[in-house]
Amino acid sequence: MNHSSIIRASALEYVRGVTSGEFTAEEFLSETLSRIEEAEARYNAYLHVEDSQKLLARAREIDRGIKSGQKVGLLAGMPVSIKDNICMRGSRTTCGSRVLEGFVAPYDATAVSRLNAEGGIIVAKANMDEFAMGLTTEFSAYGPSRNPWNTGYVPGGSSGGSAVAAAAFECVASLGSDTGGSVRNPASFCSVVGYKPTYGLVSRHGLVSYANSIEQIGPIARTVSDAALVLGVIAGRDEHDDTTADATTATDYLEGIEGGVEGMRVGIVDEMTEGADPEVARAAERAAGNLEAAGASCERVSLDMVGYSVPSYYTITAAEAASNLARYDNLRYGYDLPLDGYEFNSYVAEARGRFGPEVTRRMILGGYVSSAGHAGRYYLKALKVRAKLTREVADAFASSYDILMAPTVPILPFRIGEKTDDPVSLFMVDLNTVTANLTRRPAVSVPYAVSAGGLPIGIQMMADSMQDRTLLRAARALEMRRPPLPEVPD
Amino acid sequence: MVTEEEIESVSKLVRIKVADHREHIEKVRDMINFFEMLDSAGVEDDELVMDDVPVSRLREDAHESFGGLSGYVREYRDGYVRVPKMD
Repeated sequence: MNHSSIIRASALEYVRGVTSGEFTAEEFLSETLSRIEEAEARYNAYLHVEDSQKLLARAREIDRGIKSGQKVGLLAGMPVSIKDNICMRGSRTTCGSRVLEGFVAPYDATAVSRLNAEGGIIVAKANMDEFAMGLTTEFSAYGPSRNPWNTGYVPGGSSGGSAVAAAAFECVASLGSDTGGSVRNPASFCSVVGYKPTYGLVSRHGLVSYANSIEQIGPIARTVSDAALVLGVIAGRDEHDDTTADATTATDYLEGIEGGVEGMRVGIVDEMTEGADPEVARAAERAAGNLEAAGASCERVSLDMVGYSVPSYYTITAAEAASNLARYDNLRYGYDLPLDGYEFNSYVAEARGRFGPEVTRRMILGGYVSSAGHAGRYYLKALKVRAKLTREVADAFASSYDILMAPTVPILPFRIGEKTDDPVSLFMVDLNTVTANLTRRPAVSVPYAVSAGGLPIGIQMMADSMQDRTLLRAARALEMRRPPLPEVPD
Repeated sequence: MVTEEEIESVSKLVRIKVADHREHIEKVRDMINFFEMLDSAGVEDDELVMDDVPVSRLREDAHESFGGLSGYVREYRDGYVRVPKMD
């Protein structure tokens, strides 16, 4: 096989190729590292690439295991990357923030342990909006990642580095975290698959907290089956995270994935399609047509509370973020700010002065909406909206639908810098994604089309809690039925 | 309408140094105004719904050593983390 092309393999192709002897894990990794070196000047997908000699030594170990017939894990030496808010022992973890500049994680996140146990080789930590607060990667303290479809455009966020890396062949798959669409939004903007599992399916142990009641780690990959493979590796009960679901959850998410959508009932959500960019709206209509041709029945559905989901989401996440980020006092760990000459409170305030502008605003917002004088008007009301939205979505799944569908993002990717001065306009980019987070349902973005201007359009599908297999099956059916997609420019 | 003084006050409460509050006031005000959309959601009379997790589901509240964590602490002396004096 041509070595410059092997890195374009899907995860399943990689596993088949390396275990059949078509190529070695070392060859594949070596090509991936060359690709990273060549591509990073353009894309800035990664904040930190691990030591190449150590990575190659691990790949050779996998190769020896394959040759001698030992178990090498489901991933068999596959190069993967992880968002920089997921801890990996001995590796820098900055969360895209100057506050954690130089911080080295002392332990592995559970998702990292599970990737390693199944033979994944983690090559790099991916760029992100600071503490995952953003949806363009422009709020990274280390500069924005760039969309490989057009480097003048944002790649989405906050897991923008992960999506760029998967789209630009700098890894086979990547892990992101999804708080309000942070896996699905960049996946849509970069034409890759982004999967947000049911809340509790994947452990958050070792994920640096932003909004605990909402966020989940999820895979970003080039195909639905690849995302399912990685999901199966990282999912499952974890004693370090009491919000994880019981161990009875299925672990092989590839099983039944080719089962199709015959007989499935799909609701196209009015509130998520009205007002969408015309090209995006037409793509959603065509996607519904593809599913109907495959045997599903599609109809329009209205979910009134979706219209209030964005202010509810931002109120709740600001309150949780302000609480979580209060741990950054720079005393036990952090950057090099000498203690001498400061009183305790002024030291902590000085240290937090390194937060970027968006994180600063979210902390102020969180303090404001949850304060004694304002909590009733904002935070508590946001919780009530969340509960009502959850009832509405639960009723829709219980009575009428297997899948709810809409464009992942109602607009096309936009230019870097275009929306940074207009926070409310940026908030509304999340309109279609936050419902899955607030209601803790699984959702996926499937690449569907490319606009006349050469920018990707993704379709989002959402299923009921713990119906992740049904969701993956529907996503795979759409992937099979969609029109052919152009190759990402290089 | 949120004021510059309120933003300054909240900044102090969350202990975050902001060189110039005017840099943030317009955007924070826009965000809070946007949140006021919640007033029209019709949920005033709804009950707050909280998730109850039985204590039996939680792991035992016992010390678990991570081993060697103190080696990561920036200012660690004789078993204590060194911090600035409090007024």
